Amino acid sequence: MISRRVLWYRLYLVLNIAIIWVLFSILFLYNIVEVDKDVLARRRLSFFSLAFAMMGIIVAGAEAFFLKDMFRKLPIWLSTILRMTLTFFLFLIVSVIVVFAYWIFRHDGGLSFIEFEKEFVQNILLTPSFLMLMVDMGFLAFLSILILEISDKYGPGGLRNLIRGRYNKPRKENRIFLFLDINDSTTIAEKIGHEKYFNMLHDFFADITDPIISNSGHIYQYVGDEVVICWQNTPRNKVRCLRFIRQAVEVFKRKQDYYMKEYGVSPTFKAGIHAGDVTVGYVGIIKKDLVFSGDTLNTTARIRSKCHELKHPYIASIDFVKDFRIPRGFQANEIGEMEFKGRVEKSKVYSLELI
Amino acid sequence: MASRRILRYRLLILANISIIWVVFAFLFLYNIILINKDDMKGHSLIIFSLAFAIIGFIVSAALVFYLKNAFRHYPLWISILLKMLLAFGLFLLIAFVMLAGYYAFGQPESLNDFADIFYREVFLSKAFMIFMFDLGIMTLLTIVILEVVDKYGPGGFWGMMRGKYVNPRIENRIFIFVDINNATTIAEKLGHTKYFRLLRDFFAEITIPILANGGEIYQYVGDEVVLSWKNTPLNKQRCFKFLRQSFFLLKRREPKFMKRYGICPTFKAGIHSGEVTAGVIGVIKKDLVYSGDTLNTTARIRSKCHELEESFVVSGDFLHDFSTPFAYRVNEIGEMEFKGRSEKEKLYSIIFE
Repeated sequence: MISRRVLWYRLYLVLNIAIIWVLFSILFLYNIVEVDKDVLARRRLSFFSLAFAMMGIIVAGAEAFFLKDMFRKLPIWLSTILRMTLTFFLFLIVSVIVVFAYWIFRHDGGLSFIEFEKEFVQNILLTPSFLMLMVDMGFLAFLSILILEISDKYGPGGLRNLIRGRYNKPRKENRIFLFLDINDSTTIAEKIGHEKYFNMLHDFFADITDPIISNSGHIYQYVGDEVVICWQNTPRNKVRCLRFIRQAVEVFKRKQDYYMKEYGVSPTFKAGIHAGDVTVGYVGIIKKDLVFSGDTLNTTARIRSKCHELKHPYIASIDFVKDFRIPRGFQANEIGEMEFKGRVEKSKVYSLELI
Repeated sequence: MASRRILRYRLLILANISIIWVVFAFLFLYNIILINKDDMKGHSLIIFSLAFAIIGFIVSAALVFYLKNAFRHYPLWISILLKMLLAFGLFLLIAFVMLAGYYAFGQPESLNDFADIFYREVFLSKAFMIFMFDLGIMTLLTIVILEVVDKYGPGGFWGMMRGKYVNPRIENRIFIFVDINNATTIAEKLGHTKYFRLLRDFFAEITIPILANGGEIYQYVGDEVVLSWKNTPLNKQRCFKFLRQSFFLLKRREPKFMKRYGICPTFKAGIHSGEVTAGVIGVIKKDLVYSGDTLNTTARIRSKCHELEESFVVSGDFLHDFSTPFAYRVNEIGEMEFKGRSEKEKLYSIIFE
């Protein structure tokens, strides 16, 4: 049961991949047509290539939408082979249907269907062009799976930023950071065992994905049981940040039964919010990663750890709350002060209430 | 002056990419030969395809070895375009040299005639166009693969392909948290952008000892880098070696850092080992995550460095069952509470002799 938001995001990815497919298929189809020029001389070229293209689209659609999550638990190479086998059968079925249709519509009484089919097998299925098409298809299928996997590693927009070279030179950005942490993680881990706890963590992060995408948050990284989410610092994104908390709370309320049934506990979370300047850029040679550096992050982590101390799940700094009218449905109350590095005076922190 | 270690690591990646190239080259070359069957009836097929293969190989080698870092500071798409242009130029050059060689050894005709034939029959043929197109695709693929492999880190890409962490598994691992000393002070002094560059150079320098000792870079967390090894006695020794090598490497690089930043970074490290659960987490942003108290404890040990005024602090769990190698001295320096244990655990400092 993938949510609509994730589905939209995936659709967008598939669209990008489809463009790559089309580019490649033009190249490959061109090759094939050129190779089989002699064989095709007596046939209608446009019809033939159209049939191939149609099959390609059907197969690609099945690949992207139905087969992607089918073998998720298997290694990629194994799932690729399995998917390719399935694709091959699908291809055979579709081609038989297409040939049958061709036979019905172009029937001139000369050949029976069996003879026609026999001719089809001899002239198309066993030709080098068909073999080549299968190799090409396998290659493309493999490439698609790889691209899907890799873009998930980079996260939304990550690959695009890399290609655009947005952070080739480190740059300063003003960003909102939200550190989100499961409550009582150690207690839960001890109670249900580490392996089960990890599965719960997996589900927790999967369920939180939805509110993150729908509020255009950017997942910066996972640090142990914590996830760091960030936005550009704009008033609109501040509203989104608040909305994200509300939606996340509601998601876990809705899923309470599932978590109780599966793990015996229902996770809740605490969050620390802060905004400020960070330097963004790539670090590392053999492991390259986008890194946000600056006191803002350390401060956010400290604000998050204040949640426990002040016994309030959602705490925001004055830097987040100032210059910003808290929207309806939320309330910010002053609950304490805290030292910020590099500031003489203590700064206020606020608790966020959802009303 | 790339180190030998990094070069060797890159060579390994290149060997893998070359295999991909060869596979593709066969596929593409086969297509090209089939297409130009009619045109090439008069020519000798073997020489022709051999020539293409050699040219392709030289071009790709040049791309991979010399051009990889050429346009590092441009956006990726610009650097891809530039590299492809260079590859095209190189291709023409080599084709011309081979043509001249062919002329010198074989053909009695005049060079002009031959060049004329070359342009009409080879340069403007469909096969050549397709070859150039294929070359472009391969170049693109190579650059993208190199970039992606760096994102996953050594072994990470292969682990993903193998599906090593598809199901979470419990592993016993060593963790080192490495942190620059006085990060905040340095950042204030240098300004944030310059500090970021220092950080980048620091991480680049310690890459060599990491690779040399088979360490895995798990994550960058702010100014910190988290390294990890499988928990074996050999790897424990490697950890020690890593500390020593990085320490002296940074000392050797002091002039460079002083010149560039007016400051030479030193680092502190916290070392601990224990069980963690390893697995892949996330839907739209997937990452390998180690989860468990071991990591939190290591972070706390690292923060003890400041308190105890020691550069390298190691837990009793790490030193347990392990005789300290020659040239290192381990001293007990304090105690710390570990989560889930009733007694306090001892902490030790490491000193190089």
